[in-house]
Amino acid sequence: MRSTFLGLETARRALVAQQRALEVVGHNIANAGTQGYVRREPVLAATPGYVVETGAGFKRPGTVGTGVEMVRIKRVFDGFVESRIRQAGVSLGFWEGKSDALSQVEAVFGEPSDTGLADALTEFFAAWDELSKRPESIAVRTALVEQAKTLASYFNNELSGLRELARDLDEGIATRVDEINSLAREIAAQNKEIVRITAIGNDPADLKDARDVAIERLSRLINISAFETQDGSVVVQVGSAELVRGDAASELRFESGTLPGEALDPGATELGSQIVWANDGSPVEATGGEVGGLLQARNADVTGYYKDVEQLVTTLADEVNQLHKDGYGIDDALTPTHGIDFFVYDAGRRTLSVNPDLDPDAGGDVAKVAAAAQPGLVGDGSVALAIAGLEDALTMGGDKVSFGGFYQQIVADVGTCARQAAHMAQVHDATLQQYTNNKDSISGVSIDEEMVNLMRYQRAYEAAARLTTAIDEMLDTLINGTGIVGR
Amino acid sequence: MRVSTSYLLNNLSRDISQQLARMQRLSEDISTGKRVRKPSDDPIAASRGMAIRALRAGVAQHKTNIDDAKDWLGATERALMKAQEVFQNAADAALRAGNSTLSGDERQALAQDVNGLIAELVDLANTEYDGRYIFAGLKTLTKPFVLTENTDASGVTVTTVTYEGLDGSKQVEVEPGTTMQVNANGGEVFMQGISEAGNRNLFQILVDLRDHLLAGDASSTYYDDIASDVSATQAAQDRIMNLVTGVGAKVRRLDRASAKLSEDEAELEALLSKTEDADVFKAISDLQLQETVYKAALGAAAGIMQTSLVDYLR
Repeated sequence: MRSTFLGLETARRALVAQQRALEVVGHNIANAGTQGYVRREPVLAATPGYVVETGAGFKRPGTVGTGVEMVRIKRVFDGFVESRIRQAGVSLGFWEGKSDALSQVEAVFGEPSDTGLADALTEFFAAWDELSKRPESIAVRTALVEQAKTLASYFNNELSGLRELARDLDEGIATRVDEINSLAREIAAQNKEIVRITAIGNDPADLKDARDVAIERLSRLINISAFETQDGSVVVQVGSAELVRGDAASELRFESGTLPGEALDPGATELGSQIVWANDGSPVEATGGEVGGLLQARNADVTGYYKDVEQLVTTLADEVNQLHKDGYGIDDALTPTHGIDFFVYDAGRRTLSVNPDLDPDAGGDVAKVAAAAQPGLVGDGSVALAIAGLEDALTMGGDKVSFGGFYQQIVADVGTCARQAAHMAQVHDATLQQYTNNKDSISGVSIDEEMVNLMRYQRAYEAAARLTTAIDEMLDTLINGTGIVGR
Repeated sequence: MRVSTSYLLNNLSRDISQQLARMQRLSEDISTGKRVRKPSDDPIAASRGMAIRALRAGVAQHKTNIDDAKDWLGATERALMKAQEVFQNAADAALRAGNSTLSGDERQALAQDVNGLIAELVDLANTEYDGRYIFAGLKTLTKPFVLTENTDASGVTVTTVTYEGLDGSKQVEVEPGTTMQVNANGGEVFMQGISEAGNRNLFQILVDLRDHLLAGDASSTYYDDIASDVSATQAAQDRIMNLVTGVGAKVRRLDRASAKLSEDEAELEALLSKTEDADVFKAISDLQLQETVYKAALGAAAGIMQTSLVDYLR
């Protein structure tokens, strides 16, 4: 025999369930703008029915419902899309890091320009050409030395610019490694809390949202893969080693390498910057993410361009000096006027300068600049003409290209690499956008949808309240309206 | 497909910022006039632009070289033309000296004229241009020709001209890889013996003429000597004329080279512009198109963002 008050109970369950559902809708609306928020869906289900007994042994088919309950709150989430977002993030981070670094390399070169290094190089050889025509002129000699000093400062600025850039990139990588460490600790702490809450049977949905945000950010920084284990915690791997497992996070450490052009101790070899595991010092396979891109740009690209420019500087100095040593200055009274270098390349400080013997600002004398092939021939500019001829001589890249041509190749290479990196970043950005759209489409809150749900649960609540009134009236009839016949 | 609010807003803001980036790039094209501002804009065009710049600078340098060479050759030509006049006058004097009616005083006067011509020729041989002696070979700061007059034991004046310069070739690059000798060496021009004049040099011809005039018809060989002087002064004129013709030929060659370089310069300028410059008219019309798209996108965004079910519920 069913209870007289079953109807009230059914109505109560409905009121509670709809109210809960409304709360879920409210949570969704409140978090419509929260980064990484995954919408919740109230899952309502009918409570087990009650089988109506009709008498001794007989059971009628069919049951009477007992109402509704909210069995759980579903986190509407697709793990596959999430892992795709992370993968795309790793690639995007890599190319963004590289593109960022290479656009700074472009800024160091500052070409194409009417006032760049290429132009100074042309002007330098033109000054030798002028000297070949007027070797007697002190003014022309002074102009040549000044032009050579300008060229030297261009080269020096470029070399120091690339070295500073490598230093900046090191700093950028170190900052990101700090961020990786702090994210790893955050994820480990969230793991601990999630395991605890899951263990007592609750759903740590909001913590999971926050943890996904942290992992997504981490994927931009370094090549990671992540998977969730049975207890609700995630394992985060970099390469084949684990960065986070359970509530434990490993620490990374940045080790800066040799800066391009940095003086080495005897017997030491040049080292690239790298990231190592703090506990045992073994290298981290950082091949992706911003850190991977920056590391590659710093160790391969910037260092490579530095060496190219340095090769240009030293070859230019050698070739000019070789011809210059054979020549003679104009004033025999000055010593020495023969066999002296024009350029001095300081291999320790990696700077090019004009031989101080020739530089009036350094106490030298431009009369010593060797334009003549024989002593005493003030009108002979044949050595100057030969040096001017170096402009078109194939001196670089295994005697295949001129100084200017070699520099053009460097700049073209910088441009091509920067363009490729920017293009790849765009491609991966589009991919990431696609997956993010997928995620937003599945997990994002739609205000319109929530408004409809709001009405649905509100109306259901109102109906349940009306049901309570109906049953109440029914019981009123039963309790107050019976047994008063004839009263 | 389900469209959530964040999906809609993310895409809108992304599309709008992409549109802005496109417009920013176009307006930079227009304001700088350059399509290639950094190597990554177009790596091939950037390195091509650098190569064209270097070529353009080379052309400009060769043009300067040609102008300088022409100035030098012009100074040489002027000096040689005057030397030619000197020998023209000397030839006139020699012809008059052959006249048997000439008195002794007149011969002495002619000798003085020739003396003046000798001094003039030395001055011409010491011509300075741009602070340099053009006939001094490679010792351009040393006065190359020195006139000395000594009196020998018998009281006769002996005039000698010595060359203090040092012959050498002064080369100027007038085309890529092509050099041209621009100087006429004093040693060759003034000191070399002319075979048609008994292997005497230019100075010696004049000195001999003067000495013959000074000696006068007291000398038994006077009329023969003067006759040979007449032919020698003519041989000298021929020789100088040959040199002037050579210089003129060089100047004409330089003029042709210069004209070609001017053409090259204009061509390179056009090529550089084509390589690096933005097509401003196209950029402006593109920008206008993008602006229209941008406004439409903003309008659509405003429309979508303002519409919500919330507005329609009670």
